[in-house]
Amino acid sequence: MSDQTGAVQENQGSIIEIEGRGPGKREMLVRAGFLALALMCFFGFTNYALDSISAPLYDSNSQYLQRSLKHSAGWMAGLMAVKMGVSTVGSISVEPMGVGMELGRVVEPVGDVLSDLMEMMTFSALLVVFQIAVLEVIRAVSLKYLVGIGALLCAFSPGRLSTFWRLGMGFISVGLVVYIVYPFTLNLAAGIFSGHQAAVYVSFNESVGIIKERSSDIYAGLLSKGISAGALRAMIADFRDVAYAGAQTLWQGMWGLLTSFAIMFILTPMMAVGVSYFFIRQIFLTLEMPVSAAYMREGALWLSRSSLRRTRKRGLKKEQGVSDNE
Amino acid sequence: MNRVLVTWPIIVLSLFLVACADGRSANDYVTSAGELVRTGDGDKALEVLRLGIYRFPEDYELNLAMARTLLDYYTDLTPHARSRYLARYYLKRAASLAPDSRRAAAAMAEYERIRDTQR
Repeated sequence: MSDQTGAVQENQGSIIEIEGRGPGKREMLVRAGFLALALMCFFGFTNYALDSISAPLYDSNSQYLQRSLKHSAGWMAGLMAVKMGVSTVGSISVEPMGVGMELGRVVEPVGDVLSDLMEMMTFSALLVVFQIAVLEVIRAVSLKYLVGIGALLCAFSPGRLSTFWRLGMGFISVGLVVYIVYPFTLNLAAGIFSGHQAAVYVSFNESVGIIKERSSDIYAGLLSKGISAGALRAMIADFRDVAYAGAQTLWQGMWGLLTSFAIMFILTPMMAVGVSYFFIRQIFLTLEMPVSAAYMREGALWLSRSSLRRTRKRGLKKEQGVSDNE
Repeated sequence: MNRVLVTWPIIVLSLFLVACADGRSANDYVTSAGELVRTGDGDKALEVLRLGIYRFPEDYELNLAMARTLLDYYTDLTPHARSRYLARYYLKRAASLAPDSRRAAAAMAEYERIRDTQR
């Protein structure tokens, strides 16, 4: 802090002050400005002001995530119903030509695939719930508390080299970047996901709709014309087309679903973390905080190296036939 | 200085992109598709309508617009043409989503007319 007796001092925690004067006018203005910002944040005025710009983005992200959760729940219910049916069939014993056989052995692989799919759907539903929670927390907390606490720290000691200033600017940077970047990357990923998923989802529903319409035509033809050789041939040809279309639909649907999951659950988190890291580091460099920027870079490198080391270790253990728990 | 030149335009661009979040309504999709059909781009119109149906699957106007586009734009001659089956599928959906019974009856009548020509 400055020497009140008037000696010129230069220290790490304060702006240089001229001999004989008290705290500078500029310093007072800076402190007052940051204090006002802190109060505005804590009382929710910044949230109110920025919400008018960011509300459409947050609302569309929220709607999109709710819709994803609804689809996941629908898929899980469907899979659960199919799994119950398969389990029921699997428990039946039959005796074709006097040889006893449990259908369970036949349907076991189908049951395993269904279990894996259900696990994947559960995981994806949990991830969607997590993203909804993160979105709400960011909206509620980042401006009010992160920026507010940062502004308070900067108001306490506005010297550029002071620890409080660095901490304060760090909090403000993280708060602002997270408030803007996370919903932006989610919106971008949702746009990519929707564009891809829309084609797959609608195409799947259309194919199912066509199959239903063609099946009802086949049935109506059977009722009206009765069974004749020509009618039978036409019916078999129609059933073949319907079966082929059904298999194609299922294949496209599964493939589309996997690609969509990759976009949503791998691309989106990577983008959110990567873009946030880039912006925060750029802000630290712009504010001439190279040490903080260097710490960020070192932290990111350490994380990537340690995860690479873990992956290599796991790979070596697998080759040597050692389990992960040993 | 260079860092400032690089960083802040990116931040401003991000804010601009934030402001361009997709806020189109179901009616906007129908209008865009109509304009594309008028200019002769039926395939693009169908793509736009499919995106709209993905976002608003329960919208009567979108489903009806899809059926009309399939019937008017694709003049298939064979009775088993895929587009006519698709049009039937969307007409049936529109009939179930229609806001009043008159429109539901009209959509259903058209569905039955096309179905009878195909059988």
